[in-house]
Amino acid sequence: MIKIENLSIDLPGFSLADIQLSVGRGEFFILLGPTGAGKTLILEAIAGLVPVTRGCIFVQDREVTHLMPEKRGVGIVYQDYALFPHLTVMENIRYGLPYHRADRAGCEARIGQLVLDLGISSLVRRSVRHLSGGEKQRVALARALAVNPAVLLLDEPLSALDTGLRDEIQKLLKNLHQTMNTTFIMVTHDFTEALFLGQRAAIIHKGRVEQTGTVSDVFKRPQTPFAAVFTGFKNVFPAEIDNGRASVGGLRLQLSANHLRGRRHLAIRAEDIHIQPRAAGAAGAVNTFRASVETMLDRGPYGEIGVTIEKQAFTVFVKKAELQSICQPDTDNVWVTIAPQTIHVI
Amino acid sequence: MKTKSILVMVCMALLAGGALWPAPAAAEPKGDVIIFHAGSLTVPFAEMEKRFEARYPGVDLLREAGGSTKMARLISEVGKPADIMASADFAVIDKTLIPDHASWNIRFASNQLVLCYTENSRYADAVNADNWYEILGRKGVIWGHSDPNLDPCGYRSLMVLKLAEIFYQQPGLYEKLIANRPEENIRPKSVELVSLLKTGNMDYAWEYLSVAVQHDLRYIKLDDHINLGNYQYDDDYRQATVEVTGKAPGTFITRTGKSCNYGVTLVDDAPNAAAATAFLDYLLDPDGGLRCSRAWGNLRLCRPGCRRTRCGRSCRRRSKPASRCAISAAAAKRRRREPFIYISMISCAAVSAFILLPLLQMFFQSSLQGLKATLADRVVLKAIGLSIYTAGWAALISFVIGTPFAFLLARKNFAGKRIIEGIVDLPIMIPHPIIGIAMLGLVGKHHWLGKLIHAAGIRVMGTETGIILVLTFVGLPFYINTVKNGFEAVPVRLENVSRSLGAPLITTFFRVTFPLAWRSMLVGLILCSARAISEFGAVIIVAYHPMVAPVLIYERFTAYGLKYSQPVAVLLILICLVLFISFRVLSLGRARDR
Repeated sequence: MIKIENLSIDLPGFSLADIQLSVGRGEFFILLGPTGAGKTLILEAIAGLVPVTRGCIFVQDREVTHLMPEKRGVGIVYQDYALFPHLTVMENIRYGLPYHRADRAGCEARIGQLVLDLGISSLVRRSVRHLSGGEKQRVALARALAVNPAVLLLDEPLSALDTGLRDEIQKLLKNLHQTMNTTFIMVTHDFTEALFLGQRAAIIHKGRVEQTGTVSDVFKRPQTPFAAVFTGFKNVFPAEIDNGRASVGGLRLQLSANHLRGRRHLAIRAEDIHIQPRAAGAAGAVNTFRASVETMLDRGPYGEIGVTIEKQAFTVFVKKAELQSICQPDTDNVWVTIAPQTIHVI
Repeated sequence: MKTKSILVMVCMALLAGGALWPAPAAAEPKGDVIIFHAGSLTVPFAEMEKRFEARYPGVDLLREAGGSTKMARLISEVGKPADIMASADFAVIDKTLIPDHASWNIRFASNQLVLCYTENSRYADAVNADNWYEILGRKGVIWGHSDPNLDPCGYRSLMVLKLAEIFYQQPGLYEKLIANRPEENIRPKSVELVSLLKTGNMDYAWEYLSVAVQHDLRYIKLDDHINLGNYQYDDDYRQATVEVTGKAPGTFITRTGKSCNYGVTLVDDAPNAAAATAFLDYLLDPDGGLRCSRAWGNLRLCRPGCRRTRCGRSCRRRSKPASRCAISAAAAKRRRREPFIYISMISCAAVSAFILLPLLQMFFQSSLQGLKATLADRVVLKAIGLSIYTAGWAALISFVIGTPFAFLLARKNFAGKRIIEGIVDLPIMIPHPIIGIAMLGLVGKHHWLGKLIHAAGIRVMGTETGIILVLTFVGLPFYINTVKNGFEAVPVRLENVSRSLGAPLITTFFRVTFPLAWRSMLVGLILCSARAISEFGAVIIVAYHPMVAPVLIYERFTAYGLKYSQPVAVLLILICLVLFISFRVLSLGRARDR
């Protein structure tokens, strides 16, 4: 459906280098990465809004690398909605119709359905200036989908919304994707959005693709230390692997499987580390160590504890109720257990 | 010289013949006649113009006054079209125009140099024909003369000083006096000095006797041995020589003293030779123009509008005092203000005063009668109308060619963009007379572009086309820069979305960018046309006629002085104010609607 081969874009102060991506028909694909990674630039390259230095872009098996944006059949929805402020809601939604005369009837029918599905039928005569953020996002989606694009590009469509509204629009997007035969490519830096909406994802970092795969695969098995940190691994550090064990400073950890010898990285999720009071008597279990508590933070729904084992710092998440009962700061009175199957070797 | 005299006689005979046997009604002259003349001839020629145009309604005399040498050079070096050249120095025509641009030269009037002053000049009560040169040498006495390189009155003034050195037997007098005259006291035309005298910016100035009388100035009449007014002393006058610039930069010619004789000639390439000959017939007619000239030579001058009544302080309006409510509200606000606000307010008041004071001064100095007379003056209304018309065209052209360019600058980054932006700003930075001079070179017959333009039958010099051209030149940067900022304020994402929905770039421009940036375009048009209306430096070089308002104001100022220029200026300001405030209100109103 969409294929990007060796895409490079050179801009003053930033460049995309050798981007390789493939997105299937009707897929919900996520471009993940921190701010400034180059995600939006990839979207705009697909839409034809930035000049490509090298490489090719194919949409529906047609090369569009040097095609005008209006000829690509690619819709785009921006984070700030980019609604035309001098037009009403309906004028915004119908904006693209004059350029899709062949499918006029289809567009008209689609607009009627979209207005109903998106719950904006009461807004159509209003000026877009006076809409709320959620309403604007719905109008922007209706406008983009009205012309039945082959691909819909979503540039952080949820980041400007508050939490409640974000959940609502997430569900809306999921429904729209399921009901419409359109490929969605969404840019986000929020992994929870990716997990909820996406089927496959690519992690972009400093203008390069770090990892591509199904969203759950990327989440569970990051292939680079950056991907691990980005997908929420709080404990990522270099380690020496030898004979089914990993040495991190003076600490030796038992691994669940034999890995290639050499210098690698270990990634352990904070919620996968088990912590209990020393009195509980867990000594002797696999990968169980005596640890000293350095910090304790109340993170709202959970607690975050910073511990040190053999001079190696770890972050551990615990239930909020357990936070005070487990330990006290600056004491050497906890056991920490890291199950071998929770240690991810990169 | 003999040949010249014979030529003159033949020409006079021909002209007199023309007067004796007037052309049949079918061949009555018509069309524009362009006359270049010395500034000192402005008043009698204005009178002649009225009478001549009354006799020949089909003819419109377009007069352009200036230093005689400069005017002659405009014909010989710049190639400006002219039918007749009337010089304050008979010799200027001989040296500058004959034989390449004119064939003959006729003396038709005489004048003499006098030292003018006003009752407010320093030592006004003490100065006389015996001590004037001592007073001019005193420290603190400001005196001046016109530019010897541009105006015969200028080098004649210097000749008088040299002759005075001999006549009064005061060796070194000339050098001593010149040492007491800084260069800024030299003005392009002798009549410009009149305004300096009248406004108190100068104590004494050298003028022709005719000019002194025309402007009600006090003057010292000098001995015939030194005043250059009596041809019987030509042998004495020849003792004084002055070096002035020649035909090319860096070259010089020597002017030798002789009595002041005005000369007139018909330019060889006169665009309207028939009508010009008719005017020369009238000028040299003992019952026509010569009557004026003789009267003027005898200082009984034909002088239009020499009313002495002036509207003084009684005309000044007093502003209403602010109401107590307003004052107390202002006082309440003041209590809450930060110190920086006071600095800002002082700065605001200073800037406002800086702008308004000279304008208000002009308003108060203009009498209501003067304004009324100006409103009824067809020439003034025509000039203001032409200013608005040409500025409107300049704005329209800027809109058409500047809008896509501004869009490009706002939306694209390309190699050399900064250089292009610098080029756009050039007309703002360079002195505007340079623009006029550059334009003259470009559209002149010596340039290939000028040749093409002439071949296409397009006239630039002295036409509305020329005016619109230079006004567009000076106004375009204001339009482009304003509109560029306006385009930059429209988020590029809106255009991206429009294109992703299928709209081509041009449709995107008209459906998205234009509706969101039109206000800045309107502001750009206001700035562009405002700049164009106020343009003077470039216009006066390209087209003295037809006369736009700033040129007319300058012409009135230089030829007649403040009295006749101020009402025109006030009227222009009022009309522009109404126009621009209307535009501003319109743009604000629409902005609120958006």
